[in-house]
Amino acid sequence: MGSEEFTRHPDIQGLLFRGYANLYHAGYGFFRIVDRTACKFWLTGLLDSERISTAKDGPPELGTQRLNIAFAASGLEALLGAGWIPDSYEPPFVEGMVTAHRCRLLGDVEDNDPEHWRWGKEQDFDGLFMAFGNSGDEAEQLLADHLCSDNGVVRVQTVYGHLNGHEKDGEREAFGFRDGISQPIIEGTSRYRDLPKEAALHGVPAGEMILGYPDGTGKLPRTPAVSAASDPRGWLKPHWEWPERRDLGMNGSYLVFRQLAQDTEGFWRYVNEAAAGGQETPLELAEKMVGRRKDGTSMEKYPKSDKENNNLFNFAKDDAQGKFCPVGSHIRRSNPRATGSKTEKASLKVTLRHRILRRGRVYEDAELGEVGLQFICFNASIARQFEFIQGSWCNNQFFDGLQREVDPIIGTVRKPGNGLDAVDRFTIPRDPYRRRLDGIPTFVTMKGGGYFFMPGMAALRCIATAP
Amino acid sequence: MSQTIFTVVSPVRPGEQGKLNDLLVDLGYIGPLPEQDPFGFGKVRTLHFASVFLYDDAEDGWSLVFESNIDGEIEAYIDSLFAVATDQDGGKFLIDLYARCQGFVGKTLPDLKRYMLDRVHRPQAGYVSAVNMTRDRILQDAAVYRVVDEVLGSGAEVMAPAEAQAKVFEALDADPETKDTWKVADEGTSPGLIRGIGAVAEAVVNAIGFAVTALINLIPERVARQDSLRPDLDLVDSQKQYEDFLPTNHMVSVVHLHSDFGRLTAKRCAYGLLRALVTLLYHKGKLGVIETIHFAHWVILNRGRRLLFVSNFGGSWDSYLDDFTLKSARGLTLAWAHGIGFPKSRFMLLGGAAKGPEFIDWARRSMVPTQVWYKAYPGVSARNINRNRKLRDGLTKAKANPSKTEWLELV
Ligand code: HEM
Repeated sequence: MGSEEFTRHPDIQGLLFRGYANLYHAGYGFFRIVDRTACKFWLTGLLDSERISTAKDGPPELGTQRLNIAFAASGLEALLGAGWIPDSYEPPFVEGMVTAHRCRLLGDVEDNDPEHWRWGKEQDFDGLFMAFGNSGDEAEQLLADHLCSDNGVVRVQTVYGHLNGHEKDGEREAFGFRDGISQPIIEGTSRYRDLPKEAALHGVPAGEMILGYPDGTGKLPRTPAVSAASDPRGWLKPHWEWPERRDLGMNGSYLVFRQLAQDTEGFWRYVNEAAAGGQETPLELAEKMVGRRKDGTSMEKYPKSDKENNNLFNFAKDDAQGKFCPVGSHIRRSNPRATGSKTEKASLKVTLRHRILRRGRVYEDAELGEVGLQFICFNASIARQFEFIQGSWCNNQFFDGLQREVDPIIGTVRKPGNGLDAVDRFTIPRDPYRRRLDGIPTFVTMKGGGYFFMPGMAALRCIATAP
Repeated sequence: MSQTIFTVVSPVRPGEQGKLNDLLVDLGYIGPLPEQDPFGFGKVRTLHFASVFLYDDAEDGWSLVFESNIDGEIEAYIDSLFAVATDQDGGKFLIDLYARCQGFVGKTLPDLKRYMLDRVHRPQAGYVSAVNMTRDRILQDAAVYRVVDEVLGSGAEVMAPAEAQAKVFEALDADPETKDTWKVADEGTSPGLIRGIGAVAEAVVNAIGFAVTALINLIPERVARQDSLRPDLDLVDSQKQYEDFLPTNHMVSVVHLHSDFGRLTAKRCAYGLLRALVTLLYHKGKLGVIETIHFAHWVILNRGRRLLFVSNFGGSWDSYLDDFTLKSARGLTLAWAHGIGFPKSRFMLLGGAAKGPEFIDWARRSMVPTQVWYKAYPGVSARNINRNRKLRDGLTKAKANPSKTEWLELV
């Protein structure tokens, strides 16, 4: 690796390296496979006509379209048939997002219980087809053209997303905060080489995000396998762990999808009420909850006026107590960076094993009167990366010494019960003593989601042709 | 008062393990304390954590393990537990339970006490986060924190430190839960001179023993087969069904050991070393850099063939194992090297647990489910306990010297 071209790798699907900034609208079609042969024929056609976007295509021009595809475990099982080796995949992927234990871990309980989801409670989809274009209609047309019975698939759920950015202002999520700022920087990309200071904090080996490359341990991550019989045409390389099998994971990545509704009115009403009579303005409280300013600048001790240079802080030296960026804020929980002056290096190393590449988009559903985030992230291990952030950090009420609080943005509030107090607070460290928010409602609720695998192009060929 | 960790290990009568399992699970002890608390754990004031579980061994068959983490000494604890049992049902529940174990033919609680005391295992090495903190002290400190937190309120209107402090003192003196407890001086965590010197000697002797035996064992260590099997999905599910009901969790692992004389000696030295290190260094609420464990211990069972590890920790199992493998792999390798199938190690210090996913899988495969688990303070983490302890200390200092308002930062 290390070549200039990594972000143009012809075997990696395009969405991994790019958010398709010029294509404002996206349609996400969740489909079931009803006719295996027809589905394979459709996939082969997509590949032959080069309709699935690869990293080689580079950033899209205005007026173009992009398509990407990922599969749930049931989809790979259906398409690979005898070549499906469930043990070779990550357990969360095989089990799906909805199991009793997983719900407890991820905070999909109480307000976020799958009972209340709009879709996906049964995880009754085999794949996710993603279409990017210039209008919602265009994205929908692409989904309609492709997800049809002629192609052996039926659409069981559709959600839409769009970008919310402005040239100068950057992406905004539905509460109005700038989003899409802090991402891991993949070794071997030009960003990694050009931004050495950022890379020191956010640089991860490619294997943390894409299978087939060494990860943070210096070794190859575990990767899905197919039997050699499933790849008679030899699209795939031998598997590193079981040389008699083939590596289906190469240049692929696990994809997590969660549709998260945001109660924007409730959020701003809450901070308005909480701020009444206090020193902090509602905006300041909201910013403390997120851990960044609304315009995206950082909360660190020496905030850079330069908006492009706002991701170089860590918490070890200048903000150990969280007096700038609260310990329990969304960005500090979801990326604690380096903490503790004595453990600065070691803690950063730990954190870098838990990064995700976010590719979500906002949504606005006029019919339902709902706005929110189509959260998408990529990682080499759902358990170690996404689930760890969501469960062990954001929804852990003991995170970093805290008590009775979870992530004030994405955490699931807990009512009192089970011999425990309610979990609905947020602590803002300050002089001479903390500010405390109480009775925080759940602002972000889960509407549906699932775990997918987005294969590399050769792997797609294998999936399309496996006997 | 210092704490004691121990297990009572009793062989189960052949054929009884299934019934025992169902009986224990049906008591519903995994989440919050059940209303019916037949063990009476909730009423024993010296008990921090307890668990009851089963494991099997190819040679010795099934065993019933009764794990307790307590204040003070074992006999006094069993006496209080049995006093509660006497009140509750005359001891019937416990006697019936142990009637399913081999060698127990008694009919009374005194018989059972003798039976249990005969089967007590003290750990090879153990760790306590809140050294010298009794369960009562922990709950009292939590009450102090609650009162202080209430006085400071939301903090929307900021009081001057002196004013806040005066109000806090007043409230602590007024609250029936705190008025007699908040000014109690802390016992501290230092092992004291005599135990300290003992621990240094223990460290030296075991370090030498360890260095020699680790070297001698290098060849068997390197040729031992590593077992890289993934844990069966349904096995993991069967374990996870008991996890994450509360923010605190319990883990039991029963590993097979290479139990030849050389390797067993090396293990005993390694635990001697760990024991000394815990006494000398890890008595301030941190095991290395890990701050989430309340109580944990290792004990060698079945004549050296099995190694039992039991831990009561905060957060999810995944984050716990993450802490282990990323932050303190050496200590773990020291504790688990020479386990059969353990990821390849060198000198019982290098490799091993540092091989993240391989160690995590190995640990998962070695686990057995906890059927009964009691925790005295599920809503308080090990770090919260430490913070509360510092808070009480800070408040006591401020009482003597009102300019010391730094405790305000702790709330
Ligand atoms: C509707 C729900 C969510 C909202 C409104 C939200 C909002 C934000 C905002 C405003 C930022 C700061 C901008 C940036 O650094 O890019 C951010 C960062 C981030 N969020 Fe979220 N987020 C949501 C859901 C999630 C979820 C579900 C996860 C993963 C479990 C997540 C993980 C992250 C991460 C890893 C960062 C970057 C932190 C850093 O590196 O500093 N977010 N989010």
